[in-house]
Amino acid sequence: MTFVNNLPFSPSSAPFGSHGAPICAHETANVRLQRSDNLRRPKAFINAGTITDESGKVVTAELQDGTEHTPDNAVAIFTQLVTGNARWHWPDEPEGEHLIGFDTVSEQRRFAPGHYLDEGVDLTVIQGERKARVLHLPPPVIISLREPAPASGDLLTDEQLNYFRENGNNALIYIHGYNVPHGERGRFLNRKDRQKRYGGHGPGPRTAWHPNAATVWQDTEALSEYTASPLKDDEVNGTGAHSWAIHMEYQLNRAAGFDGKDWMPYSRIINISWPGDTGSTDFMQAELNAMTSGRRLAPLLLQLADADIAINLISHSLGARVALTALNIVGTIGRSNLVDHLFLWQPAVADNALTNDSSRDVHPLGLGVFPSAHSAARKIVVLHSRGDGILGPGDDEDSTWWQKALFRSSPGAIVGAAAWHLATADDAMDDVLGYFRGAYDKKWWTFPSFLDNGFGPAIEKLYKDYLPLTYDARMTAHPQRSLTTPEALKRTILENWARLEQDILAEAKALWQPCVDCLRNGERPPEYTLLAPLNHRASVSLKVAKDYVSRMKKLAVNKWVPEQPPRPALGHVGFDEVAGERAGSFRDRFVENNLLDESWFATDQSTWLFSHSGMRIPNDEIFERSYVDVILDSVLKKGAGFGGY
Amino acid sequence: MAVTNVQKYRWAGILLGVIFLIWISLGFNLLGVWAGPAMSVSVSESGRYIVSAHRDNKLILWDLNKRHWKTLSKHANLYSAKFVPSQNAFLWQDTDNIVTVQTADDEVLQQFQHFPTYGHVISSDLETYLSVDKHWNVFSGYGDTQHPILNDGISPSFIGSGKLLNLSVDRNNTFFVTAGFGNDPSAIADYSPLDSSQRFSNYGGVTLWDAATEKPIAKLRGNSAKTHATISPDGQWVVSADENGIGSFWNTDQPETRHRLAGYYSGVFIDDAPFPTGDSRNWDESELIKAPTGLNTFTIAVAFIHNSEYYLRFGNNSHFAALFKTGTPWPVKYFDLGESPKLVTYGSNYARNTAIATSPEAGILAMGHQSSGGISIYQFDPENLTLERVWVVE
Repeated sequence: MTFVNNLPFSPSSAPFGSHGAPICAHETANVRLQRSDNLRRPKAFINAGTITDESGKVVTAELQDGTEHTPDNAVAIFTQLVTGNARWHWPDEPEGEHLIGFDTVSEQRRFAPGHYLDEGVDLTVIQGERKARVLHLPPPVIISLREPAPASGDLLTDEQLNYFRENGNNALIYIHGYNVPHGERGRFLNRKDRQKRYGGHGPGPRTAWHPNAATVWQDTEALSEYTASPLKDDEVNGTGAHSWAIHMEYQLNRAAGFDGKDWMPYSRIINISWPGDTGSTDFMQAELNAMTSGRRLAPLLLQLADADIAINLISHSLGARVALTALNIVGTIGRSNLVDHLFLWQPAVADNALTNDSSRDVHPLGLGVFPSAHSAARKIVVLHSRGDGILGPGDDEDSTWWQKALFRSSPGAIVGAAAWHLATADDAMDDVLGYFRGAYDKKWWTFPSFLDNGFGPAIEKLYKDYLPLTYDARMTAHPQRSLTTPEALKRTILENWARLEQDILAEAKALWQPCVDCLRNGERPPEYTLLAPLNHRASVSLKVAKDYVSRMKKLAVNKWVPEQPPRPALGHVGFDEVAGERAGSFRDRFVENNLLDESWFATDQSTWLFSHSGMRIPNDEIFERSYVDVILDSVLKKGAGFGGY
Repeated sequence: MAVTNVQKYRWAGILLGVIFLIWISLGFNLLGVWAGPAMSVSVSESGRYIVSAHRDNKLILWDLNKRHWKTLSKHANLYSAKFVPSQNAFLWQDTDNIVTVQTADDEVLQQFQHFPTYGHVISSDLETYLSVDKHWNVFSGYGDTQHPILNDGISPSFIGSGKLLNLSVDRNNTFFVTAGFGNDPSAIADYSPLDSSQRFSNYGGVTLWDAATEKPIAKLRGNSAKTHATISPDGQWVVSADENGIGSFWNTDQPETRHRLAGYYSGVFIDDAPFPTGDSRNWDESELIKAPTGLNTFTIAVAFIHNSEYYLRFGNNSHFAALFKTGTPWPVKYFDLGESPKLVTYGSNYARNTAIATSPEAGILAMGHQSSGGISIYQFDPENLTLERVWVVE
C-alpha cells in the first residue's frame, strides 16, 4: 500500500476494452462462420449478414459464389474485425431458415427461431480466427395445389427430398380440411428495445413486426406481454393453410418429445394446401376440388415411395377426400402399402368410404367410396367424435332442454339460434354449423335455395356450357318475357344432354390411355374436366362414363335432389354403422375384416373432442389424447417414425 | 263478485303450484339419489353391498338386501371405490389422498396416505395393494413399501387414452392383468417395464403379470385402441374386448395362444383363412345363436358374472350384454339390460368402464347410469341363464 502511495500517478481500475488496451490499439482478426442445418449438413450462405465489432465497424463477409450446399459454400469469412465483443446480424435468408443455434469450441447456444433477428448474436472476436458453426432450420415445405402448375411444381425438390431422406428417412404429409384459404405466414415480433407491459404509469410497449416471415409456432400469449395490446393467434402464427401448417408441425414435434427449447431435433412436415375454400355452403364444389387436388397429390406419394422414404399421412375433415383420392389412384395401379400410416382425423367422407365394394356407394354420382385406397396404406387409423357438431348431430343427452325444444320447432328458429350463436361464438364456423346439428349430413339439401348447397350449383357450374339440363316450368311461364315455349325448352334440354353425353364419352375415351401411361411412369395423370366428379378414379372407362351419364340424368330429373341421404360421416360415427351396433343391412364384411385383423382401427373421441377443428390449437387433453397417444404412439412404436425421433 | 272469484282461483293456483314443487322435490329426494354419475362401482363378494364413487365426489354404499343407500363421503376420489375380496369391506380414497379400508359397518381396518389413484385393488388379507397413477404406472404397496412395477413412459396415459389402465387380480392372488390401449409389438425381454427414460410405454396393451414376482408373464396381443380385460376368479382365463370389436380370451397356462370371441352377427374370425379380405369364409358362423338388433361388439367392458364359468360383454351405445362361457368363443345368450334409464354403456363412456362391476360369486351385476347418479342391479341365475334387473335407483 505504501509503495502504491509513493507512485507519481494512480492506476485506474477501469478496463481498457476486453483485452486491457484501448480499442484503437486492438488487434484485428477474422471470424469464420460455417453454416449448417439442424441435421448438420452444410448449407450455402446466400447472405451472411454483417458483424459489428467492438469499434462499431460493420463488416460483411467474403462468400463463395456457389449456391450448392457444399462445405466451401457454407463458409462465410469476416475479416479485419477488431478483437473484443461483436454482434452478428443474420437476415434470416432464405425465408424460413430460422437461426436456432450458434456453436463455438467452448459453447453450444440454442435459441428459438426469431429470437436474435433484431438484436443479433453476441460473439467474441479473438486473436487469430474465431470459428463458429451457425445452425438453421430447414425451410417449411408447403405444396400448393391451388393454382395450375407444371407437374414438377407438385413434387418435392431434390433438396427437400434429401432432407426427408436424411431426417429419419420418413416424411409426414398433412392435408388440411374444408374452407381453409391459403392464408399468410406468421410474423416475428421486433424484439429490439422491447419493453414488458406493466400496469401503472411509464412508457408502454409498442407493437412492431419484423419484416421476415415466421414459419414456426410462437407463443402468442407470451409475446403479448411485449405488445401494446394482446395479440391474436393469427397475427403471430399465420392464417389459413399456413396457420394449420405451423400448428400441426409444432404439435406433432411436441408430441414426439420436442421440448420447445432445443430446436435441433425439430422436424419439418409436408403441408398440402388445396382449394377447399369454396364458401361455407358449397360443399359439393369443395368435394370436386378435393378430388382434383388428390389427383395432383398422387405423383408426390410416388416420388417419396420411389425414393424409399416412408410416408405417414394425416388428413383433417375434407382433406380425407384429397388423401383418399390420391391413395385410390395409386392403389388402383397396384402400389400397395405406399403409405405406412394413414390418419383420418374427423374425416368428412362417408363411413363406408374405405370399402372395396363400389356397389355399396349411395352417392348418386358414384364418388362416395374409394375402393382401392385401402390397399395403398399399410395401417389406417380413424379418429372420430360424435361430439363433432359439423359432421353430425350431437348426442341428444348432451343437448340442453331448450335446444331440444328448438329443433322440434321450425327451421326459422334454427336459423335464428344459429345467427345468435354466430354473434357469440369463439370458433364461429364450427359452432354455428354445429347448431344445425351437423352440416355434413345435410350436404345434399337444396334448401334454402339462396345458398350454394346441394348438387345444383356445382353441377351447373361444371356444365355451364350445356345448360339448361333440367326442365323448369317457370322458364316458360311468362311468354311476354320469354319466347321459350315448353316444347322448345324440352327440345333444347334434350339436345344439351345429347351434346354433353357425347363430350363426356369423348373425354373418357381420350384420357383413358394417357391416364394409364402417366401413372405407370409415376407422372401426374391428366385431369378430367367434364368427368371431374370421377377424378378419384385413376382412369374412367367408357362403361363407367356411360353409367355416370345415366346417374346424372336420373339426378337431373329429380331436380338435383338425391333419392337418399348421404351415409353418415366417418369422422362422426366411425365404423359404428358399417361394422358396429347400427350396421344392419349396411354391415360391411370388408370393413369388419380390416378391423379384426388390425389393419385399421378407429378411436372414439366423443367424450372430449367437441369441436371439428379443435386439434389446430389443442388443449392439453386433445394434445395428449390425439397427438401423443394415437398418432405419435402409433408412428413411433409401430410405424416408420417421425423425423429423427 | 266475479273479481273476488278470480282472486280465489289465483291463490288456489299458486298453492297448487307450491305443492307441486314440494312434491317434485320430495320425489327426487325420496325416490332417487342425488349424486353425479357413477364413475367407479364395486360389488362385495357376498353380493349384498355395492360401493360407488361419483362424478361429484360422493361415495355411496348401497345395501341390496335393505334396498337402502348411504352417502359415506362427499370427497371421494372418482376411481377409488373397490371391494376387498372375501370381505364386506371396501377400499376408497378421499380427495386428500388418504386411502381407507373400511367395513360396511363403518369400522376402519386400515388407512394410509397415497398418491391420487386411477384404479387400485387390495388382497383379502390386505397385504397386497396395487395401484395405478394417471400415467398408467403401476405400483405395489404404499408408504415405505411402495415400489413401481410398471414405470416406462408417459404414453399411453389416463388423459391420453381416455380410459383407465384397468387392473384385475384373481382371487388366489396368482396373477394380475393390466389392460389399456391397443397392442405392444415388442417382446418383454427387449423392454423392461421399469424404464422411466422412455416416452412411450411398451406395456399399454393387455399384459398378464405374476403377482408374486411382480414381473410380466406375457403380453396378450390382438386388441386395438381402448381395451378392457379381466381375469377369472380362479386365475385360469383372461378375457378382453375393445372399441374396434375385437374380443379375445386366453388360458393363463398358455398365454401365447390367443382365441378370438365370435362377433354376434359375423361369427369367429379365422386369422389364417386363405380367402380375400372381407370374404365371408374368413368367419366361422357354425355356432352363432340368433342375435337381436342393437347389439354392439364395440366393447366398453367385460365382467365375470358366475364364478369363472360365465362372463358378460358390454357394447358401446347398446343396452344389451352378451353372455359367454369360458373356453369357447360363442355367445351363449343375449340379455336386454333395459333401455331406461340409460346405462353407462351409452355415450362412449370408456373412461367409466369401472362403473360396470360384478360379484362372480353372487352373480350380481351393478351398473351406473349414463347421465345420472343412480345404479341398476341385476341378478344372474346360472341354472336358467337369466339376468333379472332387481333394483333400480334413478
